[in-house]
Amino acid sequence: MQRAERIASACLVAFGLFVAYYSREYLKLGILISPGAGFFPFWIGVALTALGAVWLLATFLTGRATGPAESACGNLVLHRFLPAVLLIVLYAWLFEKAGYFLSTVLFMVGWQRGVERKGWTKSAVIALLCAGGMYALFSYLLKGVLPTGTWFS
Amino acid sequence: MKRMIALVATVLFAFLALPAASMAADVYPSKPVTGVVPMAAGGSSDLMARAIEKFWTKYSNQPLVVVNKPGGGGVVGTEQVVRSRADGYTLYIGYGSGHDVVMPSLQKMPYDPLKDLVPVARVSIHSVVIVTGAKSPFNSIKDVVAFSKKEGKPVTTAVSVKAGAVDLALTAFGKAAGVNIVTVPFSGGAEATTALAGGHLMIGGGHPSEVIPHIKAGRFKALAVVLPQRDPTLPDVPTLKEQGIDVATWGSIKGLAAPAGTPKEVVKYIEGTIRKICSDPEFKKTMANLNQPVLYQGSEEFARFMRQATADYAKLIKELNIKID
Amino acid sequence: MDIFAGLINGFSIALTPLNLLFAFLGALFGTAVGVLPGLGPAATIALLLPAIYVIDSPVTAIILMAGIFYGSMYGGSTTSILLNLPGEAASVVTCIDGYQMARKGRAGAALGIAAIGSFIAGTVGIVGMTLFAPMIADFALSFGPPEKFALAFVGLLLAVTLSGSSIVKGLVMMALGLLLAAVGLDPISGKTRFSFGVTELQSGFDFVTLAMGVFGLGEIFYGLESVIKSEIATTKVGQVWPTLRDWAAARMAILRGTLVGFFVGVIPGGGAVISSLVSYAVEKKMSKRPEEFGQGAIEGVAGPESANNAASSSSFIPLLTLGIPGNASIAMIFAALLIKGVTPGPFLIQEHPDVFWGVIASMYIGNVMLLVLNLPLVGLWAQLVRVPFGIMAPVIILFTAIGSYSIQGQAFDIYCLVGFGLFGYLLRKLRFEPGPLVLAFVLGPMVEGSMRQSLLMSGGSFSIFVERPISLALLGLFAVLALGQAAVALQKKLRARTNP
Repeated sequence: MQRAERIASACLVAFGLFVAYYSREYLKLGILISPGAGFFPFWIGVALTALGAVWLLATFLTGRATGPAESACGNLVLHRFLPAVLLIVLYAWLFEKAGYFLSTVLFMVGWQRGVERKGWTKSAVIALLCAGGMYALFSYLLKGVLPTGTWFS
Repeated sequence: MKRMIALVATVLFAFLALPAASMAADVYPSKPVTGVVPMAAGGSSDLMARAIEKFWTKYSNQPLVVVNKPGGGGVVGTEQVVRSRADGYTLYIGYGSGHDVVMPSLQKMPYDPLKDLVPVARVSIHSVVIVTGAKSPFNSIKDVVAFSKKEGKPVTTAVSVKAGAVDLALTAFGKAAGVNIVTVPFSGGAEATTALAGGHLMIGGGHPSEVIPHIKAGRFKALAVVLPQRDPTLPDVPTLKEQGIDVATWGSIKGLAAPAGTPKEVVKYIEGTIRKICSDPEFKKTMANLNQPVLYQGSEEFARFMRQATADYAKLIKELNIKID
Repeated sequence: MDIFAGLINGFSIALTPLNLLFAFLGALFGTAVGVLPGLGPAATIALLLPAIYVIDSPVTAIILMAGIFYGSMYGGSTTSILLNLPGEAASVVTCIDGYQMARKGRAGAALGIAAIGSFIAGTVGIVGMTLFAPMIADFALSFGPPEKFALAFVGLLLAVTLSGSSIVKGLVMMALGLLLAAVGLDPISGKTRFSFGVTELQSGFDFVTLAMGVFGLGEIFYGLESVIKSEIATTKVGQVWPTLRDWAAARMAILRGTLVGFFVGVIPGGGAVISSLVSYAVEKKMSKRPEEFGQGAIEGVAGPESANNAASSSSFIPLLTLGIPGNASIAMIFAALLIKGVTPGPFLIQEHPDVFWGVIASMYIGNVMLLVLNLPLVGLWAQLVRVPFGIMAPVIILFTAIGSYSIQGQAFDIYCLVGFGLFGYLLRKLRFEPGPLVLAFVLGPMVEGSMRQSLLMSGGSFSIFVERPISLALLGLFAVLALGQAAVALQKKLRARTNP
C-alpha cells in the first residue's frame, strides 16, 4: 500500500508540474488587471505539485500508509474486473455503429457470460428482458436521441 | 448446442426488433424535421426557434422538432448540422450568430459558415442595445462620453461573451467615441444583464429580447442602438450614428440554414414555409412578446446579406485589432 | 392584492380537476426523470415544449413544468441513496451518508427521511416565497461578481471539510476538480483550454458524466474486486421505515436545512449545490457524534435534502418577481411562459394574478402529491438493494452510459464515463474521498469566472472584495471557518503527541 501511495504521489507531482508548464506556455498568465486563461490553471498546477510533494513526504515520515489500513490493496480479482472494463469500452464503440438495442443486448449477454459466468440461455434471457425494458423506457422519454446504428442505415 | 441456439435466437430477435428502415421518400417532408439550435435552451435563439416550431405545423404536414446542442460557443452544434446528411431533415436555426459571422475572422473553424451551409431564410436580427442602470447618472451616450473625458476612469461594461457581437459593438463604440471601455464578459446574455440589473457595472450591452423586460420594469435606461437604422422593437431609442458616433454593426443575425448540397426544391420549400410563418400575424405577435423583430429575407438575398455582414465584421475586427491570443 | 385573497383565488384555480391532473402528471414524470441519470428537468421540459404549446391555459402549463422540476428533486435523492448516483449537483452531498445508510440496510429510513424532509422544506419554502418574495428578489440581485466569488470560495472550503480525515487529500481532490472544470471554452478570454485538439472536449466535461463515473461506476468497479459480493447492501435490510429515534435526530437538521436552503437558494447560479454543502457542514459541526458523518448519519441526509428542496422553491422567486431565471430548468419554464404570452417579472402579479397565485397554490399541492407518491414507494425502492449484484451492476452501467450519451449525443461521453469510473476506482483504492472533487468541479467556473470579472471591474485591485459589504462578510466567514479548521486539526495533533 505504501508503495502504491509513493508512486501515486510522485505521479501527482509530475502532473502538477506539467499543468503549470502548459498553462504558462500556451495559455498565458496575463497581468493581474486581467488574468489570462492560464492564470488559474497555473496555480492549480503549483498547488498539485506542492500537495503531491507533501503526500510523498508523508509516506516516508509516518512509516505506514496514510489513513486506516486496508488489506485488500493488491487483491484485484482480474477475471471479473478486466472483462467488465473491456465490455463497457466495446459498448461505447458499438453504440452508434450497431445501434442502441443490439449493443445493449450484446453487452448484457457478454456481462452475464464473461463476468458472472452464467450459462448461455440464462444470459440471453436476462439480456433480452433488460434491454427490452430499458428500450421501452428510454425510447419513450428520449425519442429521437438513441441511435439506430450506422451499420443499418 | 442448446446454448448456441439460444445465442443465435437472441441476436436474431435483436435484429428483428430494430425499427424498419424508412422507405426513401419522394416528397419532402415525409418525416419530422430537426431544427438544431447550437445554444442553450431558454436563450434568444432558442426562443425564436420554439416560436417557429410552434407555427411550423400550421404550414407544413410534418412537425419541426427543435433540439438544443450547445457547446464551444455555438460551434459544436453547427458542426453537427454541417456534417449531417444534406436531405433537408437537419436544419440549423440561429444562422448568422456570433460564431458564424464573427468567429471566422478570429480563429480557425472546423467548417466555413458561408461555404458549408446554404442560407435558407432570415427571420430576425438581434441588435445590440447599449443600456445603463436606472439609478445611473447617465441619460444618454453623450453623458457617458463626457464622464469618460472628465473623470478619465474606465467605464465597466457588461457583455455576453468575449469577442461576441455585443463585445465587439461596445468596443467599437469605445474606440470611436474615445471612451475607455473595459468589457467584462459573462457566460451569456442573461448573466450579463442580471449583473447590470444589480448595478454592479456602469453600462452594458444586450439584445432587445434581453433588455426590454428590464427597461419595462424600470431597471434599465436605453442609451443607444448599434444598428444602421432604428430597431423596430425599440422605436424610441436613437442609433449611435444619430448621436454622432459613426459605429453600426449587424448585431446577431438569426436565420435558418441547411448543409451545403441540400437539393434546391427542399431549400425552396423551407424558405416558403418560413415566409408564410413570418407573414402570420399570430407569429408576429408571439415574436413581439419575445421582443424580437420579424425581418424576413429570402434565400438569395439572405446569402448576399450574410456575405456582406461577414465582411463588415472582418473589417471591424481588423480596425479594432481584436485577437483571441 | 391582499396575500390571503390571492391565495384563496390561487387555490380555487389550482384545485380544478384539470390542474390537479397536470400537477400529478408533472410530479410523476419529474420523479421518473430524477431517477433516470442524464436526462434532467431542463432537458425534459425542452422535450415537452411542443406539447405544452397545445395547453391553452398558461397556469396549467406552468403547473406541469413546476411539477416536473420538483419531482426531479425527489427522484434524484432516490438514486443518490440507493445507487450512489447523484442525478444532479444538488444531490451529490446526499450520496455521502445516504448511500452508506443503504449499504447498512437502512435505505428505507434514509429515503423516508429524505422524502419527509423535502416535503417540509418545500412547503416552508413556498410559504416563505409567498410572504417575502419581493424583498428576497432584491437580495438576489445584489449578488454581483465579487459576492459570487466569495460565496463560491466559502463553498469550496466547505467541500474540503467533507473529505474526512486527510486535509491534504481533500485539497488534492479540490484542485483536481477545479482543473477538470477548466477544460473547455473559457468565457472570459474566449480561449479553449486543455482540449488538446479533441473537438468533443471543446465544451468541457459534463457534470453528470463525471459524477456518475466517479461515484457510481467507481463503486461498481470496486465491488467487482471481491468475488463474494452478491448484493449492494452488506447487511440485511432492516427496518424499512425511519424509527422514532431517526426522526428525533433528523428533526432539527430538517429545520436548519430548510432555512439555509431557502436563503442560499435564491442566489442565481450556485444556489442548490452550495445550500446542500452548507447544510451538511452545519450538521456536522452541530452534531454530538461528528465521526458518524460519512458512515451513515441520518442528519447528513436530512439536512442537505431539505436544503436543496427549499432552494428549489426559492429559485422560483427571481423568476416570478424579477423575470430572471436562476438555473437551466427555470430558464426553460421562463421560455415557455414567454411563448405563451406571459411575461414573468414585477408586473406578473398585476397583469396575471391568476398565474402567480395559481402557481403558488399548485406548488403546495404538488409537494403533497410528491410526498404521497414517494412514501409508499420507499418500501419498494428499499428492496432494490437486494437485487443481485450480477444484474444490478450491468444495468446501472447501461443506465449511466445511455444517460451520458443522451446529453450531447456523442459516444465520446461514454468513453469519458468509463475513464471517470476507473479514476473513481483508483481514488477509492488510494483512500481519497470523491465528494470534494465533484463539488469543486461544479463551483470552479463560478470561483474563477467571478474572480476574473471582479478584477476587470476593479481594474486589477483586490480591494473590491473587501470594499463591498456582502463579499466582505462572506470572506470573513471563510477566514473564521478556515482558522477554526486549522485550530481543530492542530489540537488533534497536539493531543496525539501528548497521549501516545
